[in-house]
Amino acid sequence: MSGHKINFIYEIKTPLGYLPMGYNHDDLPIIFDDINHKDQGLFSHPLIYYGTPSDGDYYQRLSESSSIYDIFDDANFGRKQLDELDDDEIHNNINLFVITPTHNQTIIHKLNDFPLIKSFSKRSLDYLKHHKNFKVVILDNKEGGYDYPNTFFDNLLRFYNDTGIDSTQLIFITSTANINEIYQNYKTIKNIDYDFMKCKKLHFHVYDDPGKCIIDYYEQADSNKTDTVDYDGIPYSLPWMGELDEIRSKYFMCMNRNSERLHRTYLVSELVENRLLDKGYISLLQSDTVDDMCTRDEKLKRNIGDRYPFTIDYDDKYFIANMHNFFNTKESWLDSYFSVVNETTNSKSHIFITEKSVRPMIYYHPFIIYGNPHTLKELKELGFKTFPEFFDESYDDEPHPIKRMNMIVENVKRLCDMSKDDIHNLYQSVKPKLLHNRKRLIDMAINKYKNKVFIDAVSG
Amino acid sequence: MQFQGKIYNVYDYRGVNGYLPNGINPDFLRLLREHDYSFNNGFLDEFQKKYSDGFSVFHCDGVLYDNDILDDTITSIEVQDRLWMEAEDEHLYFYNITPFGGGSSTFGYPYTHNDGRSFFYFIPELTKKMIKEKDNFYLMINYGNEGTLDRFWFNVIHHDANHFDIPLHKILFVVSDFKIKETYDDYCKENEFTEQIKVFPVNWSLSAKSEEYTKLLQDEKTSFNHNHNLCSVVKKDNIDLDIVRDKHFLMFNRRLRPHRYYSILLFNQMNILDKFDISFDFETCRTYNFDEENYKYHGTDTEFRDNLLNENEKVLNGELTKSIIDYDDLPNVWGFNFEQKESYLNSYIHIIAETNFFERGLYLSEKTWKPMGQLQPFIMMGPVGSLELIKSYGFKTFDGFIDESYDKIENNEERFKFLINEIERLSNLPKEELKNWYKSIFNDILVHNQKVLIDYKDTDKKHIRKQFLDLFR
Repeated sequence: MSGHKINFIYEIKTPLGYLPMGYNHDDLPIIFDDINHKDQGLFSHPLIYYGTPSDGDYYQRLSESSSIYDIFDDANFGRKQLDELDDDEIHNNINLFVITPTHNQTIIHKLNDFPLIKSFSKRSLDYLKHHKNFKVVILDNKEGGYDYPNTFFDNLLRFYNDTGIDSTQLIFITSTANINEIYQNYKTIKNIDYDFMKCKKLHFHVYDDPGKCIIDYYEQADSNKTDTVDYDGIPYSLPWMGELDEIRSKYFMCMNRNSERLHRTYLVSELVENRLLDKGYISLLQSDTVDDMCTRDEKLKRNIGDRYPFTIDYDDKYFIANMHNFFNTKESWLDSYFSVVNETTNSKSHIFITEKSVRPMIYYHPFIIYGNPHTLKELKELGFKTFPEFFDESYDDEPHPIKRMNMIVENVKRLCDMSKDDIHNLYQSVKPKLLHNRKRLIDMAINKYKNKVFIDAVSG
Repeated sequence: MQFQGKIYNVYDYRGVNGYLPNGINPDFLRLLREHDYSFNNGFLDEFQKKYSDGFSVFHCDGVLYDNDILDDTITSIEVQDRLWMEAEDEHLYFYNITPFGGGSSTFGYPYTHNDGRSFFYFIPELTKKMIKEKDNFYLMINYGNEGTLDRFWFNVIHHDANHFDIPLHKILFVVSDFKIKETYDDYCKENEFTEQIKVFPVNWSLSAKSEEYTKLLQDEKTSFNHNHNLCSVVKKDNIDLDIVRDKHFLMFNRRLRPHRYYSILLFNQMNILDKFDISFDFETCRTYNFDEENYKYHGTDTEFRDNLLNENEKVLNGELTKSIIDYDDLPNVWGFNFEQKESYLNSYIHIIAETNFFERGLYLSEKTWKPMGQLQPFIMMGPVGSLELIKSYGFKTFDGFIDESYDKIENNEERFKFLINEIERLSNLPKEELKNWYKSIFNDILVHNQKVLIDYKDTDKKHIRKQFLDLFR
């Protein structure tokens, strides 16, 4: 076998590098025109996602530009244009046409825009039809908190029917943890008794990257003999083990940049309503949506509208949006005992775990999560420990979002009624679990979980 | 010092079926997508039908480089340049624009699909930057497979290069016209331009025809443009020099260009067409619209013109329609891979009806080399100085038996009349005399010419390449 075992296949090489798959061929005139007018090696067309380039790495930036290159780092993975494959690669490698979301368009929107078949040349379709080792991977590495519309699966089903491929050649990989359940529901509704695709969950926000960042931080901090490490001009810090034993002034952390996700705002409102605002580090930044809601909801106006924005460190939401995905500075974490995580969505139709749930593990916090039902169950399946010592975790099974929120607020209220000594002792008692979670993140990075799950999904 | 580097053909885009020609107007990609990004005849035909316009094709070089030419994309070159900018880069990079098949659209004629925008408008910014900034990176307008150029193209090149701030010395114009240097110098003088592009003449057809006849002499199969006709060539040992051939002349005329058109009318008037193996098809190949207005570009002798116009009535009346030699479907006959030796064994003198006669420049197409390959004497109905150029390659001609002073007559109308008269004179010679003459020159001239043609690929190609590379010292 020559070259790489797994090739990411592209159809077109442009002056700005490989054109990531997933564009509509009908849009090529616009895309080419756009590319022709740029002298910088960055894809910026709305249909094209390009991840942040490594500084100075021109080769990566120009020749290999694709989000996939940023996602996976494995010697087994290569990039080839269809036209460049030799016979051996055509017959023996796993050759993947990978479609990812763009930076301003989710995979759901993308696959709603045009029939998937329009993303492929005749030659590509020919390879797919005649070589089972050619596959289409819909790789949703960005979001995952969707209510999947039937049209999403309709498009994939049509692709399967129109191309004559095997169901094993059409693979959807997503952070939506219950994707197989969602897929089966679609089949039931449509009365389909066969598989037309393969679904695989891959926790992009949990696997590898947090662990890698932790390792990188400590290496840099150690070599610089400093607690603060600078990434893109912003200082970040993580706690050291010896810093966990001090008495803390606050009970909890609750970070909310994007208040437009209203379940967050309502949770904060309930915390305020229960006079818990001073008990924790709470952030909730201004948004027009919240301002508008406050004109219609008296309670929200009283608790939020008249008092917010709440900030912990920075008050510029655009600045925060560009900060490190997993880090900020450690002070507020070391001065509170647990985290109230407001996840991306609180819907019962999916399970989506993001960096928001990972952050407390990085900063040695027990956590209670206002997200999707069974989030804790999923985290436990991933090998993380949860904290029944702190929280009544029955909220994780509660499907009703308001009831779940109230259960969470009750938990927070109860903990905040504890004396500092008691909660401090409680915190000390769960330290082994906190260390375990941190170690689990690092293990995932060292063992390249993301790559393993991906390879498992595309093999066979 | 000999050039040690590599030569790169640089392309902007590469699709699922190979590289895409540079300078494509993105608005026309949809049709290309329907053909899966293949520049095959199907795409070109459909484009022609849909837009009544030609689409430039590419990979028409073959003479300037040997097999060591490397194809690559601009992104790779640009990346390498950034990565290795400290290192000495001794290679040559050519960003090819190939107008072949679509010269008017390439240069942005208003009535073409590019509608007023030349290829310059479709060069990506990144590529323009490379042309401007990288010393050994050139924009090559490669028209080496054609020799008829429009001087307006120079206007476009000068204007648009200035508009896009591309230095003229980074532009190379390759064309199969051996007077390109004179023509371009005249143009610059007339326009008082001091800065110039580089121009380079290249004789693509000699090399290509040489390769074709070499194969045929070795009984190998040939092909061209997906055509796999079984072809043949006259070999020295095939010929019985004592047989008297049926015809005096052989003359191929596919597209009816003016000089071909006029000469057929005159041969008909002189009543000597029966002495010809001649091809023409006035019904399907009538590309020249003969009228008084058009004739004025070719001459001033009104009596001569009126005579032609009278003769043209016979065509219009259907008295003169079609004549074939070997292939019936003339519109689909090409200059390559349609060689049948029988056509050349039935006559003595090949009248080379070249592509150009009245046009400016000196372009010799594959038509010129056919009699050399097929062991025939010839008369050149082509541009002034053609025989001189032919002889410069080592070929011998036929002065003494044929009055070749026509080659020096610069006035096109006079040269044309002279040729017609000379052909009329030769038509009156008895075939026995032609046979004896043919026999007398067979080894010394005809076999010699065939050998020069075959040997060409191994000798002069290297010389041309050296001359070409010298442009970039």
